[in-house]
Amino acid sequence: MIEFSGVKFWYGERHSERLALAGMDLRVEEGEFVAFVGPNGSGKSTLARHINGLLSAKEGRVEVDGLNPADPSDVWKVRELVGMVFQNPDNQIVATIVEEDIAFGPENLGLPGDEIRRRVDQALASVRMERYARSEPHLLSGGQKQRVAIAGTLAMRPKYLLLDEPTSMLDPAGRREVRETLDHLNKTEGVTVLLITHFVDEAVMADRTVVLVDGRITLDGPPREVFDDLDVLKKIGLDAPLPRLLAGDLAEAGVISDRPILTIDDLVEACLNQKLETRD
Amino acid sequence: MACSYRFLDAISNPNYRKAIMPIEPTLMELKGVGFTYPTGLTPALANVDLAIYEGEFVGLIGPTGSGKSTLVQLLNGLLQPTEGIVLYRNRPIGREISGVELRREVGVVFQFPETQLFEPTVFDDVAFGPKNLGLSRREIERRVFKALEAVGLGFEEFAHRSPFSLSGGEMRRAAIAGVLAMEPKMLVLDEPTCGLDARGRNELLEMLATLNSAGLTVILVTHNMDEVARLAMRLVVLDDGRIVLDGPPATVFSQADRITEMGLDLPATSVLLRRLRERGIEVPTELFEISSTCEAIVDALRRRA
Repeated sequence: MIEFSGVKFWYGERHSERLALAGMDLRVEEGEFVAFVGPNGSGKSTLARHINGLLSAKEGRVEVDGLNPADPSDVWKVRELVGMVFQNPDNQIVATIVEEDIAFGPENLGLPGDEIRRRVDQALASVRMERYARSEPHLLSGGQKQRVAIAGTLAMRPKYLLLDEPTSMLDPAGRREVRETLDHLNKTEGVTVLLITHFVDEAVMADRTVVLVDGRITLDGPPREVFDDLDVLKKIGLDAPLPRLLAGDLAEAGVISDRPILTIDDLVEACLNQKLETRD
Repeated sequence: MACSYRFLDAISNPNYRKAIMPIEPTLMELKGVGFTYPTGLTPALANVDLAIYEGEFVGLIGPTGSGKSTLVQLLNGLLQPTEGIVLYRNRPIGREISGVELRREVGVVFQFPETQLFEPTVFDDVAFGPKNLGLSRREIERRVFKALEAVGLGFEEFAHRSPFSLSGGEMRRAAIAGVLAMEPKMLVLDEPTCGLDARGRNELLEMLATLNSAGLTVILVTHNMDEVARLAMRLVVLDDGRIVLDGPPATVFSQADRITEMGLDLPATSVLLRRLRERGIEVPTELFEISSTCEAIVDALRRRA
């Protein structure tokens, strides 16, 4: 479990500076898929950096499975538990062959050769990149590179996967690949996923969406609830999913009933049902 | 209407429905252009014929590695073609117009341009280019004022602030102001909304639509199909170094299979409309604005009832 209790953080010297985290309380259980959304400067990346000890809380406390990421004696254990993936895959790949890149972490743990081999093969299978084990990373597409970066993290066998806008530099196919990979890792392999994103479609695929504004959690719940109130979203400056937007207008025009709608499937069903209701 | 998320509808380019008629003078033309990197085995671009007309808003899309960045660098003379010729207002680049001259006419905003902000104030940063042109102080001030206003950063409020005190979206617009202060005829932007939140993204796109209505030719390179579908009057699709589709968004996205096969997406509205159609609701599929999509669904459902 990852837990934040009353965490405050500010960049710079004084408390009078704007708070990047303004008293954050958060609990992420094992197995969850949580998306973090919010405007630029709302504290998403600051939050992430507290989880793996890159930043330490000025007030309050952060715990990862009971360990304190800010404590130098715990930080390395925490980083084994929490794998991080960043925006730009090119900055995260160090070796000239895919499988060597993935082996980099386990090698640094000093694991025996057959264990490294096993982990590399499993990590490649998890991101469905087995065919590219001997490829040169620079010849891969953006989505493939990002999957290699994810595999490199997985080879460390993290319990938590923390990703900071992992798809924002990818093309649409790359985005799809990474989204499918995350879904697979969470649903099939039980990895806890914490995903920071600006894409509303990614926030919608999570089980839980946490909305940050000015270093505080303003909304926290299933996407279906979080994205329900359009006025609130607009005030925060967040996009709403297209089906939700249309649902409001279609309900107002009286052609569908105003039931909660989040996905394309919801909207299609609502449109089809309306036909039946009108016939009755 | 309940929904107030009509932002992109409202800013949709007024020229959007105007068919592309090559009646405007040609600004840039690529004839039989190919480019192979010195270390490359296969050409990054091959057989590219492309004319950009004055005042156009062109969306340049294609999967990673399709040659978009190479094309951008050919457009402002950072690269010279290894095959064919690039013309700016009928003048061959490299012969009748130099790369330096060309870059005054064609401004390029590369990815994450805010990483190149470095001066102590926003004013100094935006003035950097014009100063290097050896312009008078008055002219420099005029240009900085105009550029900051164009990107929606009020001169009084922002000119004397440190660029590093700005929000992510503001920093990016300050960086774009630096390019606009060179008063280019054409602006090329590579993924300008990458990493911005919804508000920053919308403000930036609104700014591009406004600049284009004022006559600036805009080329927007992006992976966001919703953005270009609503803003661009023309889409140029690159795949594997070749132009494979070129036309208005509705025409390009009507080739849905081809678009998805090459790893691109359809705009969200098109995806939704297609799904409705598959389920027997008779809607047109190539609509990109929320308002027109909504109207089409309402019409179709009323007809069924």
